[in-house]
Amino acid sequence: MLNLLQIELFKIFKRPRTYIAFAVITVIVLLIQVALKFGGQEYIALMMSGLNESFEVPAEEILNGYLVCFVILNLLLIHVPILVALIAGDAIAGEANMGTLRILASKPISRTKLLLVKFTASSIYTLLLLIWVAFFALLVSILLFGVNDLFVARELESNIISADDVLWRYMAAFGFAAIGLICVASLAFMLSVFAENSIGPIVATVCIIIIFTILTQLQIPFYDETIKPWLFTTHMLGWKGFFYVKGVEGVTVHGSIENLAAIFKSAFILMGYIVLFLVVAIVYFKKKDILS
Amino acid sequence: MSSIISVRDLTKSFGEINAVDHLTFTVNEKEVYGFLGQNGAGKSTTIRMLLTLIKPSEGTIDIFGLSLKKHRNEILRRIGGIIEKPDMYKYLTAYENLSLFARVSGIKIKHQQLMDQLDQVGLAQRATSKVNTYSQGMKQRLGIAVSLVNNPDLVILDEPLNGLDPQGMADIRNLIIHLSKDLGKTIFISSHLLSEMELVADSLLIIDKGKKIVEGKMNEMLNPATTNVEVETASAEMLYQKLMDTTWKEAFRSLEGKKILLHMKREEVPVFIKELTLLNVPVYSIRPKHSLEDYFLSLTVR
Amino acid sequence: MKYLLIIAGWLWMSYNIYGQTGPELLLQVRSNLDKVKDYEAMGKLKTNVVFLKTPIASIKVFYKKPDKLKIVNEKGISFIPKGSVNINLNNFLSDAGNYEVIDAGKEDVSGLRILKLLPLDEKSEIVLSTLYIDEKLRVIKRARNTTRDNGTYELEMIYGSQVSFGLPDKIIFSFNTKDYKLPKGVTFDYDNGAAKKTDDQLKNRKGKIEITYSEYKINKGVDDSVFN
Repeated sequence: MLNLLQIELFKIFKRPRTYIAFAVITVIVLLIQVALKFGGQEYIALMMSGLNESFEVPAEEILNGYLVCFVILNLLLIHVPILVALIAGDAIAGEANMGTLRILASKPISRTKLLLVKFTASSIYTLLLLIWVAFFALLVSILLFGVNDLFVARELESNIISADDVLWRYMAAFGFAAIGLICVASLAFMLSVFAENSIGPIVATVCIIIIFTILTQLQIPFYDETIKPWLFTTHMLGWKGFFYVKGVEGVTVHGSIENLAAIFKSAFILMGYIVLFLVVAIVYFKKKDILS
Repeated sequence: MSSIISVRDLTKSFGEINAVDHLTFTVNEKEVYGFLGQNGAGKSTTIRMLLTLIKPSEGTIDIFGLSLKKHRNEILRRIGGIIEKPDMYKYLTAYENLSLFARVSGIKIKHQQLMDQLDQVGLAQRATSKVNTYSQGMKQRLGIAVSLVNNPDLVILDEPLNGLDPQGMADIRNLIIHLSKDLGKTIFISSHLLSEMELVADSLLIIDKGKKIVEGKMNEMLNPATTNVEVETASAEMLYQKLMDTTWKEAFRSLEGKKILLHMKREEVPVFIKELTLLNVPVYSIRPKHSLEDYFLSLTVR
Repeated sequence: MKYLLIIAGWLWMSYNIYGQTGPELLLQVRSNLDKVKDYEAMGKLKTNVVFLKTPIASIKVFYKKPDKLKIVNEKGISFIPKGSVNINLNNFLSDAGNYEVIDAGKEDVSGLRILKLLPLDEKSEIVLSTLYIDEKLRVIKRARNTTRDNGTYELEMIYGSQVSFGLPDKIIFSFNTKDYKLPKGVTFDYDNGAAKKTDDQLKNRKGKIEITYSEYKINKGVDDSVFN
């Protein structure tokens, strides 16, 4: 299995298009950082619109590396799934399109093993992409903007987290984000099994994410009670839960998480989706006639 | 001689269409087995079933005496194959492609062995070139190298000579003969280049619309009970008119330019020649045509 | 004779403590506060607002006569309520002569003397001040100020070692807040199922900060640049 995994990773990283995603992330993150460096005060003013009538807002302290990273993740974790789909959606469909799937499938490895190896390789790619995001979004932001307490704006309240209580939350958040992105990879991978060309699965994955994200954000009671709790996009936001803290009479409880059980529940639901998508992919692929 | 491939009642349906219809054949050890048919006859479908890319709707396939359904991986370790136009990873070099597929097959292969494989198909000089710079013929050669990289006992080749120039065809033909005769490999080969098949195949299977038409040894097929006779004349039209008034009317097959083709029993040929001279039509030549192409066309052309 | 002197002394003290008029008492409080030209103190800032969760912050408070006050969090983020400049009592007593002082008697429970200050200046930010004064210590224990633009806020002072300067060990500042709500499309909140705040809570509009002071450095000099 390890041998096959090495081969799959070799193929992924020998391909020029793999590096497009890393380049895109680098550019987007740098653009956001530059924008905040020169226009961050306006952004802070928007976020503080509910607070600056009652309080003196320390805008310079608020705009620090931890906040910049939070802003980047807020934006990027909508767009990174598209980049994940680029590779995962190509995993099987791309091979079919190239004509190499029929060679692979006629080798002495079971179809299940072939699929699992390819999925693992797609997942490793996803994790490397996330590490790249983490490096640029967190480390470079800290270098450019320094560190201070983290201000987290929510719809009905804001949380301030002490600087010394932030870093471990980001590690946990990235860990959670990994599960979310692997869920996206598994969806794209599953769709890839049904197609002979990678454009279809990539576009389908992106469309599904966009539609589900809209449904997640819509505040319609009918959806709130029926489908929203089951959408994986609802649970992909769970990384933010690490930044929602408990408070006692308005005082942040150091090291606390407002609802850890909810985050675990979201993680399990996402893992459930990963298993579901993989099982569907394997069941279908085992029976599929390879005509490409 | 033991059988390497034993196929019984093999059927593959796509909806209501039987692409392969109760096909039965046997391939013996160490022989070169030719697999012929028109386009769409079911050759590629059959080969895909042999390589487990497609699941049969009915029937059984035994290879090396083992059920393919139950011993898939064990059997595939001893098989090498290419299907139709071989496609490789275009962004990798020939060497990288060959190494990759060797490792996928579970083979540990050294650098020199890989270079020898490439040299065998005439690609050693271009080993480090990316495949997207290759011509179709070079890709074909690389495909053959990939099918041989795991030193298989059974080699399945689907149209291996496509895209090759005459020298290339001669090289691959010699390679096939070498693999079979010198190294004792069993070769299952489909091709529409009947003249080439005539030169390499020991046995033959001809299918049409998914069904077996004929199976047997090559030398027996090329000496059949019936034969084609080609007559070259000054006026083929005049000869045709006269033949239509004789009992040779049923033997007529085709008229092209100055040539008329007839099909008859071998023992009737001397009688025909004798009666032809009595028709008073100037004849330039009479030639029996019993090549594989003739035989194939006689079975499959409507 | 001896007893007469004692009684006379008691009567004199009683008069001084209990017999002062409102303005006289206010002047005494003022004179206490006037001893402080500047101070610098460490503090712990605790914020209690329904829509804000924030850690207890370590702050520094700087004051310079007559009305400069700066609260600084050197290490983290603190949200200082607008109008907090009035935390320092001197700031709204700086113009004590410009008030009409109304003696409202004593508060039953605490026994604190109640003085109401009505500014004579029509442009004054504060429209009414109610002070609850400890006559014995000559310090303001509570204050309620109604402002023109920022609603009503309350101060509660708890005194300790610096009572002679009129500087509290702890101050609780209650103030009004505006509604807080950000668009969901901006925040992209994660629904973690936490108990939603009730409408009553959200419309609470009252916030509170507590500052616990320590390490006062009184009249040691504070540079003007601190207040920039």
